[in-house]
Formats: sequence, C-alpha cells, structure tokens
Amino acid sequence: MAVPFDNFNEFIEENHAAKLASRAQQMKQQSRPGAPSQELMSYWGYKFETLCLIPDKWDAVSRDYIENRENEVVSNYAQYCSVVRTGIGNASLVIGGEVDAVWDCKPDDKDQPINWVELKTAQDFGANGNLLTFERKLLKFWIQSFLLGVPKIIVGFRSPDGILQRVEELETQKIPGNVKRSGKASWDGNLCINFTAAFLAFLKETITSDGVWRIWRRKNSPAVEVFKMEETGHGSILSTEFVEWRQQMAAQAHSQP
Amino acid sequence: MGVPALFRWLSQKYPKIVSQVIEEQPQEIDGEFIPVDTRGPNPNGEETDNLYLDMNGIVHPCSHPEDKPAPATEQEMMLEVFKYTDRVVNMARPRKLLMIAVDGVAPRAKMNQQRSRRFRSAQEAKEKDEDKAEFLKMLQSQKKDGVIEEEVHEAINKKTWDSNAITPGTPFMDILAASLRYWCAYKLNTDPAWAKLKVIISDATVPGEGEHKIMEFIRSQRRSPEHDPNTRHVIYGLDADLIMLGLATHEPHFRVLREDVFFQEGRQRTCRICGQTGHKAEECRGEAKKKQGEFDEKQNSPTLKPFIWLHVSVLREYLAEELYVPDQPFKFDLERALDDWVFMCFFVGNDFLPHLPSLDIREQGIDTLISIWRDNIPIMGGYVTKDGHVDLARAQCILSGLAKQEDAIFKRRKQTEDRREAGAKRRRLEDARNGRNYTPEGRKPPAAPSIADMAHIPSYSPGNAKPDDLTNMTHEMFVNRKAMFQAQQAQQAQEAQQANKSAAAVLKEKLLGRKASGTQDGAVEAATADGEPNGTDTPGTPASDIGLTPQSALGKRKADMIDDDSADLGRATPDAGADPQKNSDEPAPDTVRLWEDGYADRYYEQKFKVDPKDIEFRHKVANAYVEGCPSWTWYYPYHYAPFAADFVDLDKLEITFDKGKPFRPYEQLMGVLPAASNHAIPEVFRPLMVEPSEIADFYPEDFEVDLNGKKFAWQGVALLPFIDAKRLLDAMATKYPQLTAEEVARNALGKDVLLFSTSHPLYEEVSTNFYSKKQGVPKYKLNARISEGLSGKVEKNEDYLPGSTLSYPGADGTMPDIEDDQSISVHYEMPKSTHIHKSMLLPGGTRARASRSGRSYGGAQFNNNDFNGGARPGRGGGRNSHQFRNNNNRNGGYEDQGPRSYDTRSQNGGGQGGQGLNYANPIAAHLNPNFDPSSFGRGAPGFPPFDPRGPPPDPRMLPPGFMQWAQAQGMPPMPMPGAGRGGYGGQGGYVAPQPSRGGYGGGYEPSQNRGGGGYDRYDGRENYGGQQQGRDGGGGGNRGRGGRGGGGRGGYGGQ
Repeated sequence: MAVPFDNFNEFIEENHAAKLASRAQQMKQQSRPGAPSQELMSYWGYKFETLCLIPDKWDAVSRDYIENRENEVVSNYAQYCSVVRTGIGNASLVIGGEVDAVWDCKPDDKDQPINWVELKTAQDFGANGNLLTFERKLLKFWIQSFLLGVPKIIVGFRSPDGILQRVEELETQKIPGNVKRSGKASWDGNLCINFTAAFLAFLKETITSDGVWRIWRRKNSPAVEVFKMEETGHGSILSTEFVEWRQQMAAQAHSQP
Repeated sequence: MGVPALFRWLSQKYPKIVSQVIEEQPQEIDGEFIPVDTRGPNPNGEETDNLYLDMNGIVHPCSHPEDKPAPATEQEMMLEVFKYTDRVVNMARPRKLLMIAVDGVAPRAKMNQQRSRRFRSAQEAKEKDEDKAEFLKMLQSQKKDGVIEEEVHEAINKKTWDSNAITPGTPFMDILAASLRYWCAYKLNTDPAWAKLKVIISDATVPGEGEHKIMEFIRSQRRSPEHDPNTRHVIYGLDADLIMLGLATHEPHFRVLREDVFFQEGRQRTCRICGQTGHKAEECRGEAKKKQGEFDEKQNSPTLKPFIWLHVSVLREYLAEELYVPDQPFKFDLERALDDWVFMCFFVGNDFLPHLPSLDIREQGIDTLISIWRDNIPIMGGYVTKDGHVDLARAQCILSGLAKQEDAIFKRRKQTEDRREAGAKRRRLEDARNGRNYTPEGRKPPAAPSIADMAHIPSYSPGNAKPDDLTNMTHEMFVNRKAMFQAQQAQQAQEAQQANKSAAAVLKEKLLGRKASGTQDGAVEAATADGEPNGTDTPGTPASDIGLTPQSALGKRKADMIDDDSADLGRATPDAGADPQKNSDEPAPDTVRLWEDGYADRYYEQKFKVDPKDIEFRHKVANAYVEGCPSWTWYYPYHYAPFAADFVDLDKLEITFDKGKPFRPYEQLMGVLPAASNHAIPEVFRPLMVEPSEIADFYPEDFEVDLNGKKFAWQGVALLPFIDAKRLLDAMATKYPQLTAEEVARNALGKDVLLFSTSHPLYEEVSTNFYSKKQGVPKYKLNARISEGLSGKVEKNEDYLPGSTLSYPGADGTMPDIEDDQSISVHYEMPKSTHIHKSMLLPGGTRARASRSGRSYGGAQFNNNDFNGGARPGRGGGRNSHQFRNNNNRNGGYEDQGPRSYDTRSQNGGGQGGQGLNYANPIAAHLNPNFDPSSFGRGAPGFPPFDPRGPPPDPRMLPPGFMQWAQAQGMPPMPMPGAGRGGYGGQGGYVAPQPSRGGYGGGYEPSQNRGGGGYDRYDGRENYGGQQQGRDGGGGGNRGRGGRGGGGRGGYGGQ
C-alpha cells in the first residue's frame, strides 16, 4: 500500500528465506558511531510497550505492578493477533495482524467495535527538523492501523538516546488529513487506497489459476511484478497440517445438514 | 459529624474552594408561578453529571428545623422534604444520575456515638416538654380570662417530635422510604428534566451510613472500564466529612453543595413557641397572629438560605502545594499525599473514635499534624497510607512527633484560655462600670453577607450568645418581668455564658433532683441583679440558671447531629474558638489539668479509672485506637482517647481483620435508642428496656456527661455503658418470634432501587428483559453504553408493575396519584470487586483548575502595598485584610505571640507575613515581590544559576520604590521567603529551584493526552506546572504555597 510513495523498499511476497535474509541484513547495518544500533532501537519499541501497558483491567492490577513497570522485564514473545475481514475497492480481504493493546477492555457486545491501540516510538523531531522522516513513519503507522481497524495510535517520542520525552495520541483516521494540512504533505492517503484497490483488482485478474505465485517489487522499480512460481500446491506458505485441518473442517461442514 | 468546625477552618485557610451557588428562581407572571425549567444550562456555569444526596442532611432540618416551628405531622415533614430536595436538585441539575442515600444500619463503632447523641437528645426533649408545660401554666394564669387562643394552645402543647425516630428501622423511616420512592416516580413522570435521569434510592433498609454508601457507589463505578474519568460529581450534605469523602474518591471533578452557614441576613427571628415574628420566646404573649392581607397572603415568605459550592478540585490544588515536600526521597504522588492528609484529619476528629486530646481543629490541630508529617517524610521514606492501609511504623513516626509537642500544646491551650478569660473579665467590668445598658443585640456583629465574600467574616465577639432560646421563664420572673427587664438584659449575656459553662454542673444538679422551683430563688436573683455580674461561686446555681441551661447547652447540640460547625455559626453563636466571656469561676473544675505536669497520670486515673502506673493499659488503649478496622462489629471500647505519647511500638502491632456482619435494624435500634424513644421500637421489645429486663442496664435514665475540658455540654462525653452485643442479641432473640409479619419486613436487609422513566434508553432493554413475553434472566449486567456509564446489575423488582397507577403513600391527597406510571423501578446492585480500590487518578481525567485564580482574581499583588500595610487593591475584596484582623480572635489567642500575628509594619523583608505560619493566608508566606510573571512562559531562557540567597533582583522587575524602601529598611534586597518553619528566615532562606516544575523553561511538556490504557506515568507535580502555562499572567500569581513556611519550598525566585 505504501508503494506509491516508497521507492526504496524492496519486497517479495511470499519468500520466507528472502525475508529472513533481509532482516538479518538490516540488523547488521552498521549504525553511525555513537548512534544506537538497530537492535537497540527495536528493543526500545518493546520497552515502550511494557511501560504503557497493564496486563488486565485497571481494577484488577495491583498498585505495585502499575508503579514498577520501569523494572518489568521486556518480552516480545507474546503477540496478540487480530483477524479482520475487510475490503478495499471490489476486493474483500481477510487480514491478520498483531495489535499492541486495547483501551480499557473489549466490549461485551460483539457487535461493537474494539478500541485497539497501537503503540509506536519515534525520534522526537526538534523544531521541525526531522518532520519529513517522521512523516514517512506516519505513513507506515497509518497503513498498518488502517488496515486492521485500529482507531488509535500512541506515539512515544524519544530523545536520540532513547529517553522518552513525551507522548502523543493520534487518531488513525485523522492522520492523512493532518499530513496534508499541517505537515509536509509528502504522501496522500487517498492515493494509497486507490492504488491498493487497483492493485488488488490487478491481482484478481492476473492470478487466474492455482499454484504458488509471487509478488516482487525490485528496488527503485516503478513496477510490481506478479508471476507464478509453481504450478500446484501451496509452497511453504501453508503448512500441510493446516491444509489437512481445513479440509477436514470443510468435509464436516458438508456432511452436516 | 466528623471533624467539628472543619468546614470553617478549611474555608478560611483555602478561601478559593468556596463559591456561591447561583439559583434560578421561579418567575411569577400574572400571579402564576412558572416553575424553573431545569433543562436549561446550569446558571453556575458548569454542568453536573451525578448528584448524591446524603438524605439525613435533608430529613433532619426538615423534620425539626432550628429557625422555625416543626411541621405538625409526619406527612407535612415529607412535603417539606420534597420541597427541599427539589430545590437542591434544581441547583445542581444532574444530567445522568441522582443518588439518594438514607442512613442505614451503621457500623458498631458509629453506633456508640449515635447512642450518646440520642440519649442526650431524649433528655433534652423531656426537659423541653417540661418547660413548655410550665410556660403554658404561666400563660394561663396571666391571661385575664384564662382563655388562650386555640392555635397557640396547640402550638405550645404539642409534644416535641422525637427526632430519634430518624433511625433505621423505625416506622418513620419506612414512611420516608415510601415517600421518596413516590416522589422520584412522580418527578420522573412530570418533570421533563428528569426524562433521561437515573435515580438510585438506597433507603434505610440497606446497611451503611449514607455517605459511606455513596462512597461505595463511586468506588464501584470507578472500577468499571466504562467509567468516564471526567465525571462531574456533586454531593449534597452538611457534614464536613463529605469534603474528605470527595478527596478520597480521587475523582478530579467533585463538588460539595451545602447551605451557607455563614449567611446572616437580618432575617426576622420567629418566636419558637407560637411561630410568629416580632418577638422572642420569652416575650411571647400567646396572641394570635395579625393577618396581613385578607387571607394572610402577603406574609413575607421566609428568605431562602443561600447555598455554596465547595470545590474539592480547588482544594486538591491547594493541597498539592502544601503537601509537596521539596527533596523528598521518593516520588511525589498527589493522590497518596491526599490520602495521608485525610488520615491526619481523621486524628483530629471522626465519627468512630474520640479524638486525641492534644488535637483540636481550632488550635490548628491539622496544621500541627501536617507539619509533623512534612518533617517526617524523609524519615518515613514513603507515605503513611496506601490504598486504605496504614503503615503502622510510619504512623508511629507521626505520633511520636506529636507526643513531643503534646506537653507544649496543653500548656499553650491553658495560656490562651487564661488570657482570654482575663480579657473578657476586664471587658465585663468596664461595661458594668460604664453602666451601659448592655444588650446582646448591641454586640451583635453587623449583618454579614455570605461566605462568598469573605471580607466580612464577622468577628465573633464574646458575649454574643443567641438569647432566644436561652432564657426560660419561670412564673415569678414573668410576673415581675417589667421590673426585671433591665436587670435581665444586663445579665443575659452573662447568664448565657454561665449557662453554657455550668451545663455540666447543672445537669448534675438536675439529675440529682434539684428541680427548678422557680420561685423564691428566681425572685431573689432578680432583686440582687442590678447590673453587677452575677457571680456564682458554687455549683449550686440558682433556679433560673437551671432553667436556662438545658436549652442553651443542649439546644445547640441538636444541630450537632448535622454538623458541629453549622450549629455554631448558623446561629451567630461564638464557638469555642472565639471563646465567650469566661467566668472566672468554673463550676466544673477541670481536675485533670492537662497543662500541668503529670497530666497523663491524672487523665488515666480519672477518665479510665485505672492505676496511673499501669503503662500496659495505656498501650492497650492506643492499640485499640489504631486497630479501627473496616469491620461492622469493631468498636473502640473507651470513652476517651489516649495521648499521643502512649503510642509506642505500633509497628509491632498485629491487626486482624474480621469484617463481620452489620446489625439488623431492630438490633441497631435497641443499641442506640434510649427508653424514652421506645415508641419507635416494636412493642415486643419495649419491655426489654426497663426493669426487670436482663439488659435494662443498657438504658440508664440518668447518666453523667463529662465535659472533658470543653465548654459546651454537647461537646462533652456521655458516659453511657457500652453495649455487649451478645447479651443484647440473646435478649432480643427471645422476642423475635413475637413480631408481626409487617414488623419482620421492616427488619429485613433491603436492596437499592433504580428508577428511570420510559424515555430513558435503558427502558427498552429492561422492559424486554423483565416484562415482555420472552423474558431473559432475572438479573443481568447493565450495558454501560446504554446506561450512560452506570455499571452494575439490575434485578426485577417484584413490587413494581409497569403502567400501573402511582399512588401517594400518604394517601391524604396532598400529592396526586398518577395513572399509567411512566417510570420504572428495578433493583440495582453495585458492581463488587475483590480488589483493593487504588487511590489513583484514572487515566484520561483532566484536571479541574480553579476558575478564579491568578492575579486578576484577587491573587496577591506583588506591589509594595503590603509593606505599608496600606490599601490592597483587588485583594479579593479586602478579604485578606479583614481576615488578619480577625485572626487575632480566631487563632486561639496567638495574637500575643509575635511571630504568628500578621503585622505588616513589622515586616523585615519581602513577601507578606512570611514569618512562619500565617493561618489566615498561607499563600502570603511565600510570595516574592520580585516575581514577574512575564519572565515565565515556554522557552524562557534558563534560570539564573542557583544562589542560596536567591537570585539577585532584576531591577526592572522590582516594584517601584522597592529598592529605596529596602535600603531604607537597612536590609540587603534579598527578599526570599520560606526559610523553614516559624521565624522568618529572610535572607538566609534556602531556595531550591524547581527545575522539574515542568513547563517553566521547557522540558517535559505534558500534553493533555494521558497515554494509553493504564499508562499514567506522568508526574503529578509536573502537570501542575505544565498546565498552568496557558493561564492568565503566567499563572504564577496564585501558586499559593501552603502555609507551612515550608523549608525552602521556594517562592518564585527559584524559578
């Protein structure tokens, strides 16, 4: 979805090996001397989450826990995924994504929307110095939250040393508007959405048969390529167990009147 | 009750917490009364979400009012209650919820206090009736034809209504509950403003005191994630405890609504006996009232007493300043500090324990404790309380600190009294010498406007007792009245004081059988009284005094059921703080003599009746004091409190918690009512109260009242035997089977009721669930989105049928029946939780700021008018100036102790009244005339480097003429206030700059967003700094430092 505004990033879907390799390469990136490493910055993100969150409703959490979150061990093992069914343009989508938090609690009524919260960190831009960088980040924040239906993003602004300076609450819906009006307007939300709709339509047209397909966008390329890798099967995207399980479920559904 | 005079102390020390209530009055057009449409915006400028009514604060004044005759029947009382409640609800205009809480069965600890009150009230009522009988007799003999007007006869003869009926379990409370339910349903049907309102009624069948039930409710709501952290609460009640309650909820928007007891208009006093204006009780001639207009319609309606708001949010701000200790070793947490403050206040007075003898609010007991607390913060290493749990080791610190001061406090108290006494005596002699026709009226303070304009707080001069109900006419006195009048006038104030003071002695006399014969003694006294003070050297006071005392002494006590200070002030009576003329001869000599060495021994010997050497016992008492746990059955088993010095090794104390069960209404009734009120108890129990019952000793007819060093009888301790719960229950068990079914029903534990109209969104859900064809579960959880934030469970109310006729329980036609009732009633249950309620602000709450703060609203000016002691323009209407004058009277006579009094001329430096504690205006202590608000603001260039003397004054910031003045004073221009307690440290003051005071000079900028779920890492202190940025004049103007002269808290120079 970010493709129209993001020339730099290459992505290949779905190629797990390539993904791992690219991640490893990112981590190995030498940062400038004195600057924090990628690893450290990634830690900061998780640390911010630990500081912000409590494991249960406010009433149920002890004062000790609330006041001692600074000393709490940071863990990025547990992830909470939300699966949503949505659509863009003519295409309907089922998306699963990790969400960080929920505000207060999930409503009892299943029909009510859930108040998800996404927690992000960003370097504080002093006096509009790095506004552009931040806006790029905002694009990513927005896309991620928009797709999953997360209404609120909380951004923790840090100093270059990683000390939290201030916290801001952003409403996902309002981000594109703010960028246009008060920011540098380096990107346009509508364009992203329209592009995505068009792309999905393209995918629907292109992928006309079973098998394993791959989407590839090379670096600095204006094109996104879609081509078939294998004729049949699911490649390594779906595990055999999963496929079998789904087939079983489908059989059961059929057998029941 | 709680801390007596707390409200007055608070409103003096923190003046901005009080503001006037603006009320819309119904309009009269063409003779038609158009009632107020309360759907309109609240004229006070802010809306209210929830209103809580502590119903006992309404029922008491409606059923036995102080300033007018009581309603004739209980039905009339109900109508009064309706009217009054309507007025209060219209003032507050709650938009979401109205909660009406009537006192239910109280915990045992409170029952003892209720018991003593009721016993004394019964005694007083008896005496009143006797007096009335006498008066009637006298009237009859006086009238020529022996005929008295019917109405007057009735008025006089009416048996005083027993206010002890306002206890859970009595038939009266039953009537009240039914009437309230009717009235709420009636309003839901007829008043459009109630369309979306939810009403919860917790009547006397639900155990717990009214205010505690309200507190419980608020806490239960806070636990729910659906609770709006910015809910605006208002609570109505006369109890000063409600202020504590408001603080303890830790809700940012909380106000207390109460009558303005400072308000004294020249209202016409009505005669107590016949209810007419123009004369006092003792002059009552028993005449019929002259009608004004043909049907008396032009009679002046009594002026409505104004109300005031008490803004707990502003109090929070004040306390945030006062409770901040610079350089404290742990993080400042305002909510914890507030809990500690409430805990300190608790020591000075509460409903469950007698307060420590060395702590008296009128002697700045709270200030003493707070300063000890502040001193001990570094030692304690943390706050004393934590979510309701007291850290005993830290409490020990505080008590040890207090113990060190105890001796000095007692001595000082004695000195003060002696001094006052001497002054008063001197004045009396002068008056007598001048032969002035000394009328109490002449000494009345000028009619004072209400509390909102504190400039005119009257100085209560001694001798200003309310004469109305103090004098009692004996037959002879009346006959000789003309001859006596002058003498009486001269004596009146005299006697009033005497009466008050000799209350205890006189009560004793009376109880010992010396009845008021009212004949020769009275005449003799009249003859001798010719302007000379009537010295009564012996406790054998003349009859007139005996007649006087019960009413004067105990008359005030009635009001104390509501609030000690309202009793004081609503009647323009001086309180013990501004001590009335004291007779040099105390009929009840204080044998303990706290000011003399060895007082502890004497105290324990006389009050507790134990061997003075028994130290163990003292520790036992102290431990019992501290144990006070939230249990229904615990109580403090002594009538007196220990000294602070007796608290040792508290940290070693183990406390076990046994919640217990509340008593049932009849058990409570048996536990608190005296035999004289047995009409309120089911018949089968009445024999238990008199001989030969096995528990008759619980109900003595005569009992001692120990003044315990106080002045007024109602302040004394009623020495009643403690009730042994087991014996009582056993005795009652034998009678239980004999109760009628109706009586059994009254004894049951009830449930809260929730009412709302059919136009409320909840209606649909509830009616579908409970009353439609497909019924759901009988009890289900409310959906907070539909109920506008109310969480809890509702259950079908079997007593209610939708769409039926609503009929008035009084069944006498005064209130209409309503066909097709459009209101619905269900049982409501608060959400329960096993978790401890945490004293924290909920995330998302925005702080409420004082709406009138800053320089332009009367905050202290920083020009040099204070040095001249001259005009203070715009200083809150001169309130402060007046205050200082009054200070001398009020502050327990500290006027002669140099450092305490505010004397502008003797200032040796900047700031105002910077020496130590100026209770009148604590803010004054720390103001720096160098302060220039324009130097603040975001991004202000960094602070000048820290200089222990404070930064050098920038000449352009100084007020004009300051330098010259300063040099003329011969002082270096370093006016830094706040160098520790007492004594004005002046130049040497350590001033710590507050670099973390957010917002000043950039740094942490707290946005109004509080972060995500559960994230509340902000530092409360910084927010205060930060959020002030937008305020007028840099907002620094009224940053009032608490009046602690507090150790380098730093005036403005540090910033």
